[in-house]
Amino acid sequence: MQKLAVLKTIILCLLLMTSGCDLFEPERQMIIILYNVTEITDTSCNLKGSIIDNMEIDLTDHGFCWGNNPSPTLDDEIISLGAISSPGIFRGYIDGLEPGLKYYVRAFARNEDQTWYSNEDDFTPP
Amino acid sequence: MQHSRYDYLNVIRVLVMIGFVFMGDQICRSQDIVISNAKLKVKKDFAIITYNFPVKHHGGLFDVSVTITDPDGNSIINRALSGDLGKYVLGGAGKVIFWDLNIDRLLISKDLSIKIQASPSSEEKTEQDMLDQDTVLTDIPAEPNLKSANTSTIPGNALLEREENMSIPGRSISRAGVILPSFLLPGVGLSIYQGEPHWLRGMLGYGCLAGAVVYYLKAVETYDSYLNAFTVNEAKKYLAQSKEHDDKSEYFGYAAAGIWAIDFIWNLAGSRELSKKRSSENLNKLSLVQGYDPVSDIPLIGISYRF
Repeated sequence: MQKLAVLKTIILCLLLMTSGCDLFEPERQMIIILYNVTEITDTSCNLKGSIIDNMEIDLTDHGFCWGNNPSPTLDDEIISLGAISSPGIFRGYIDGLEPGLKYYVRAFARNEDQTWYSNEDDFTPP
Repeated sequence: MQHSRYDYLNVIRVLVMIGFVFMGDQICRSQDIVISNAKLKVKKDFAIITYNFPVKHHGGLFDVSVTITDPDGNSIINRALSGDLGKYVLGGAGKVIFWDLNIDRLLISKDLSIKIQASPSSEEKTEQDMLDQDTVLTDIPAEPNLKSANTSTIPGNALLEREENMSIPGRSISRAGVILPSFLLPGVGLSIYQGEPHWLRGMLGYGCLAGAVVYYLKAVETYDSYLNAFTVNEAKKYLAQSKEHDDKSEYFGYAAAGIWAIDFIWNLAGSRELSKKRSSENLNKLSLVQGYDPVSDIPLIGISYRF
């Protein structure tokens, strides 16, 4: 019985040690960032985003999406800038905003299978 | 300097030889004297020696003296012997001598030879002596010392002439007792029993484990920097650093796991070897010796114990 208990303890510890090895793996991720919205007027603003890491994936589209609700998606308003195959900065311009309404905006990138979004920024045209 | 009991006994590797030497007129005349029920037990820090005088010497008075010498023959003063020794020890059964190892072992640094010698009391007991002894002794006369008359009958080369083994149970070594402590600190289990610095493996193991944790934390930190990078170059740099730290963390982790695994196998083998060794020691560490000591010119019948 004592030997069995020792064996069980050892196996448990080995399992814990090996499971601990899988806790973290520094894998590449799609990293898209949205810089602060600039040059905000009562009807327009400038947007700037960047694809920091595209995971060597050919993206079929990238751009910005915005709306009056948090976490805007491709179902909201979008600015499509087309396909891109390497990291880099991209810009956009929004017109036709309504003064006094709060807008939320994110950058995005996508391929056939998946869509990635950036951090979110919000602004209210004066 | 203080030592733990096990460390002390293991590191110093005390080897104690205990010899009983009984001399008396009747003993000297007979070559077939056998000490009955001569035993030695080690309980905690006490060595307990029990012996019986031959039946025909029951009722006689003997002076029992103890001599402890190191391998060079230098006498060591002992302070922790008590029991049936000294003057006017009544010949009979059930004699006991206690040796408190806890007190005297600080003096032990080498193998020791301990000789307990008994000779018939040659002096008449004084009244004070009588009062100091068991009252039974007051009725027993001291036997005459016939040493000089008997030495000629003893062959001079009879030392270690006959030896027989007895087994005494030693401190048991359980495999779990070796392996479980080593699971916490590799090597410490064997260090306890062998006294060798196996625990260094533990230090190495924990060093590797600490290295694994440090690099793991660094990898996580730089990965966070990668995720929050504002430029492509920053992202590349942080990702590369994170991977590098993660790799180092894994190397240290595998090294630590390897140390634990090797230590486990080492302990399995070591504990088995220790058990065998201990069993062998148990069989051989106690022996009876009959013979003759040409130095002191007296016959010998003794018991030796090694631990």
